[in-house]
Amino acid sequence: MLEELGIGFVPFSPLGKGFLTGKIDENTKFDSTDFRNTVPRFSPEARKANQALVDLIGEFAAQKKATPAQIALAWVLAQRPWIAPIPGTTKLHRLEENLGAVEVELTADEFREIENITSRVEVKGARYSEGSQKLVNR
Amino acid sequence: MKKRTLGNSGLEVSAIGLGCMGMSFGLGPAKDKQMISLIRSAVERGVTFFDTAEVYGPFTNEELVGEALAPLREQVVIATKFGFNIDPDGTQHQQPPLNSRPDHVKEVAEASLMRLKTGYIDLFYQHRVDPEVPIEDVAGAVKDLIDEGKVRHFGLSEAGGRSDSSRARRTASDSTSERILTMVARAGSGNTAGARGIRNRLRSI
Repeated sequence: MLEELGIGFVPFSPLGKGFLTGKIDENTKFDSTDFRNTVPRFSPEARKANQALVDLIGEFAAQKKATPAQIALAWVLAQRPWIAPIPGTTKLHRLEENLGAVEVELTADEFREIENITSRVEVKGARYSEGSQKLVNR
Repeated sequence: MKKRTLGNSGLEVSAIGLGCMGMSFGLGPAKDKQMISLIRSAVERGVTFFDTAEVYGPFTNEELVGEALAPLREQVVIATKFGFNIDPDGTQHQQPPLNSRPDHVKEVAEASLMRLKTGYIDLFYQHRVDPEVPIEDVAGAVKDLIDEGKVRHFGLSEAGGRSDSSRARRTASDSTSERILTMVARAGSGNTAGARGIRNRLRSI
């Protein structure tokens, strides 16, 4: 649909609000002002369950000599040429890691392998709180 | 850094942009001051696409991005967003939570321009679809801003859909204005479903 209409696409949270970096697990404590405290997908139970996905992406990344975050971004970039993701960070080393994703080339086989990985894990928890969820997809 | 063009808008941005929300809002304590150098480091590394919104703070994130990018303005694309029900003093109303009435959209644009220390917004998104205001009216308000040179491109964020994108596009095409609205969509990949969420959205939008 977007392609037909000539509309570009800007994915936010391409790193799953930090989860796909592999640096967040079920024991991670967020600051009291952090909205991830309200996100069902960040409940400790959901994090524990979703860790399987990060682990699989991490294994793939290690073979590719890249980081999980770079694989997540490279996969998004490989979708279409008119997509530009906007990962956020407050750290220079993470910024540089993210930018390194543009150099990660995925072959057609690797692309399919990632699709396969993401379809193997059922992601738990909604991406928004109930209140916030009411405001999207309208 | 590689460049990409967002649809047929002609808007060229670095393949990876920088989301600035978490620097002052939503993800722990505000880190504003050190973030100015981080934003400028990103520009040095070829990032030309910066994302903020009125509601991040509110206001403080736009102020941060504005301060960081003011000396580099011609080199970068700044995206910001309107659509929440926020008074000029920063009071954010929950009932109703959204406000995309055309007069409000125009007031927000003026205030965002001041905070961003710029004469134009490259990409102005409706942050959330306002069920009280037809998308044609929203697109019309943004078109006026485009005609005045204050906005370059129009975007929709977290829009559900079919009707919105195509209706807004139709409004743009039917317009007698020489400037056609170009559109960019924005949506969350949704945490760990990142990849999958985007794929589903590509199908549904």
